[in-house]
Amino acid sequence: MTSAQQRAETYLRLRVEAELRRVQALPRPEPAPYGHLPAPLRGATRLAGPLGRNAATVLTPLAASAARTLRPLAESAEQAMRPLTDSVLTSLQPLADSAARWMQPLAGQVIGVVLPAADEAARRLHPLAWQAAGRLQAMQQSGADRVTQWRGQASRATATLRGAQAGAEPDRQEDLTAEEGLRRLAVVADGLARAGAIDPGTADSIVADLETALAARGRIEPYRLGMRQMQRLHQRRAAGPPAGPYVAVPAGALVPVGPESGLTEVRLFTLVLAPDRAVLTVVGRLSDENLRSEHLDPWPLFGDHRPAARDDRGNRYELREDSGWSDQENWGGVLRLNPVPPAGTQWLDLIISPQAPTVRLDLTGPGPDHDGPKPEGPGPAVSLAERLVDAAALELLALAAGGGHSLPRHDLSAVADVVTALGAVGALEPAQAAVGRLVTLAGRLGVAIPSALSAASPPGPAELPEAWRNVLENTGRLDGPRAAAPVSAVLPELDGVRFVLTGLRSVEAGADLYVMAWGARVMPHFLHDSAFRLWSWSARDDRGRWHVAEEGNSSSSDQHADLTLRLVPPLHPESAALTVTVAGPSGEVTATVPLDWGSR
Amino acid sequence: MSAAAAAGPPWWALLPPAQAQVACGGGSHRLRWDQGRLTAADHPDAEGELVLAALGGDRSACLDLVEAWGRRGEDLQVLAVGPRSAADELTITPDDLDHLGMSGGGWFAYSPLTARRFRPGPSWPWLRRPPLAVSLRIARRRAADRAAMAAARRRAAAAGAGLGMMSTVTGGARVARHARPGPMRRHQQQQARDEADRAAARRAELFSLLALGPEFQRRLSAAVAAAWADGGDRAGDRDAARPALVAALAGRLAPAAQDWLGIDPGLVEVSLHEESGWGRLELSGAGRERRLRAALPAGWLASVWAPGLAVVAGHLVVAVTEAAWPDATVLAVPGPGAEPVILRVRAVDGEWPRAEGAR
Repeated sequence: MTSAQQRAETYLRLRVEAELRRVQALPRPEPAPYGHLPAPLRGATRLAGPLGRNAATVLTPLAASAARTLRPLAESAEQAMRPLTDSVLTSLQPLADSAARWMQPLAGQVIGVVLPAADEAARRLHPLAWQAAGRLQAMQQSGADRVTQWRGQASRATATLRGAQAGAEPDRQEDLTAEEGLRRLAVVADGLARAGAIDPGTADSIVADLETALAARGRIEPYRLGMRQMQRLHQRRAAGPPAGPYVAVPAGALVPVGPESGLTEVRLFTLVLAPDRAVLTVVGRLSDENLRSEHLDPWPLFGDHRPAARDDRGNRYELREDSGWSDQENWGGVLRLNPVPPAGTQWLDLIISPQAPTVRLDLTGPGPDHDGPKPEGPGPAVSLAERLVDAAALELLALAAGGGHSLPRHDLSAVADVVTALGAVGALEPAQAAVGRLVTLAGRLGVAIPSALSAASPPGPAELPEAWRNVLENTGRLDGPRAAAPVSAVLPELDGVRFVLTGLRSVEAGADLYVMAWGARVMPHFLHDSAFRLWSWSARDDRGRWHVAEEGNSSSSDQHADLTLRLVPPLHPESAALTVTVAGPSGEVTATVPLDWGSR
Repeated sequence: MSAAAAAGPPWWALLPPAQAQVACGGGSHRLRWDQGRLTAADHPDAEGELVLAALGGDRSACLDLVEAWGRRGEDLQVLAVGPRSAADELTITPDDLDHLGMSGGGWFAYSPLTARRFRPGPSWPWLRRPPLAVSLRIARRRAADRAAMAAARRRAAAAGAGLGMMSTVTGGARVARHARPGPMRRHQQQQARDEADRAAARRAELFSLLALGPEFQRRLSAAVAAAWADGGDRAGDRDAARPALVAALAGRLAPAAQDWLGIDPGLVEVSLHEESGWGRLELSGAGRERRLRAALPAGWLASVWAPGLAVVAGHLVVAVTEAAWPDATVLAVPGPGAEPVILRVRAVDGEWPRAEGAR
């Protein structure tokens, strides 16, 4: 262990000591948290409790994430309702405050019943269960939000714990619960580990020891420890993507489907052949009768006909829906071929519907002089700490380019906390310029800048990268082409993850880029106690317009994920190619893909 | 300030014997700690029982605890989790141990409830029911799907293959149906679960020891500190453990310093003293900004802190020079900037008042 790593470990352990002292000063949790509930509710919560607590741990960050996405909506509602609600709030606040306090754990408990049972529900009652979970998430977050709001946004405390670093400013840590304090320390530990200042396993064990210490003192529930441990193990697993070839074959065909499908047409994007699966990405437009219906179950959309395929050897394949999404206008999904075509297969004929012509896909791959995707990577080496801070800036940039609704409430305190920690252990220097960029960007966007972040920034405004300036200049445009393109590219493996681009759908305000990922580190961001996203996406079209991406819908299972990334600002209306870059913890990879719009 | 300290008495010299009752084999048995060792008082042939247990016989809770105590005697996690001061109360009880073996895993699906659309105008996040015609088609297809899945499972079972069940997730407007992972992934998942289970078992073991009560918590902490102190079994490995030992010292000295000087415990900086002598204390600043810098050896935790001797009669005790329970002679600092003095103290009802005739 280097002396720098010892310094970081000592720092983190001293933060743990400070956190334990802080928690010791908090009032002890009530032994009977539901004692004030009506009897029937007490009974229900007792019934729900044992199963529910476990899943509440998972859903809390999920709810927080949902809340982030709800903010734009909430803000517009808030503006409309404010005159009415101000007076009501004044009189109801004490009551609501109390209600929020007991509803929050109750919601967590009830959610908990839903989620542990979800594996079973997935086979039986999944739509109902998840609708319930979704509503409960909202309920829980609503309660949490009120508490948070009425505590004066206490979580904006930015400085490190007193005594952990000389000169640290007084903070508002006393407002945090033990659970919040634990999460905050986990974020710092993650930041130090991601910046390479401390061994990730050591950082994990320090956080785990704090959890155990808090549980031993009755400050967090002991039964949460197992779930947290499992999450950490999952994140730490070095398992990469399955070994073997990954092939992405663009299809691009627009095929008609029957009226019983609920769609007017289906566009086939890309066939992906991976070592563990073969999948086809598709997007369809809802028929007029289904517009704005927001289908929850895309599976019947092909009516009574089941899509199928056959290969050059006469083998037949079933196509089953693997995952899907829908909005008020479109349906999209991933169809899974069963079985996986064997090696050496020359071509596949896809039969999507009786009305559609057969679509033949050549699986032999492009020739050496093809004009297709050109993956590159890994990119230039920059320091881990710099990449970490730039990831926070890119997230901010994506929020701004996506409409900026949540910018006024964007909280950089966790980032500031990590930056403070990096400074305290002598690991900030390589990231100082990045901190300057982040502070300059935040200032330009009107985001509150924690003083610890300003203090760590070099004096004077930093020059923003040309790409960022370009994004800011084009924010608000509504001139994107309304079309879809079967972009296909297999990106080089990066930090144990293999990304494959499988399609793009553009509208006036932006574009959805469909991506598949393999590897242990593709779990959704909300499952990580982190101030920084693991992956930052950016793109540049051939007309010089830059884009950043936020994660939209995603589904993941074990070590595979289907992601939808929202590229903003919109693509240039005349764009014909796109260079997509994903930056991970240690580097970045890039692919340039043609935008073959087909029929618009 | 610094002064040489003579080689002190054994670390456990000022920790009197302690006893706890534990449930064992349907009865209540005694665990006794004395002179640094934990024994199962109601299992006189402990070694014979352990041999039988190793051969497949029943294990007793008492002997499990004795073994666990031995395993944890050098484990720095004890210091990370254990008490920092008398006011730092651990509430863990044997009942809590039932909840510690949970492990999770499986799948996740995520759909922001307000997945932003690019269409102009409002976009409501609420989930909507499909029209009746679509619902009927859904129902028909689900029935067909169920039949097909059941047939597939039957075929897979007949073939001995691992197709198994599908996991289906519905979240908001996103639906995922992923096949079960293949054998390699299942193996990796199982490895992760096994690792999580081992971690849970370790935690449960630690909690079972901490649940013996404050007396035992301090004695176990002292044993660990002594193992890493000069002359201890792990002293040679101390370099890698320095951050943990510094934190252990800081976490325990800070509240003591608060008692001693009224200083903010957050302004107590500690380093590990690894040279000759008892260590070093420096006070800087004034008023609320007073900052104490201390360098103490790891053995301070075992010989001074664990017996509750950290602050005695307005002095911060920095070393024990002689010990014959309940009497002790200690090196103690009366105040910042002062040289340490020798005090004679005697334990009375858990307190350490100055003994008569002390200087």
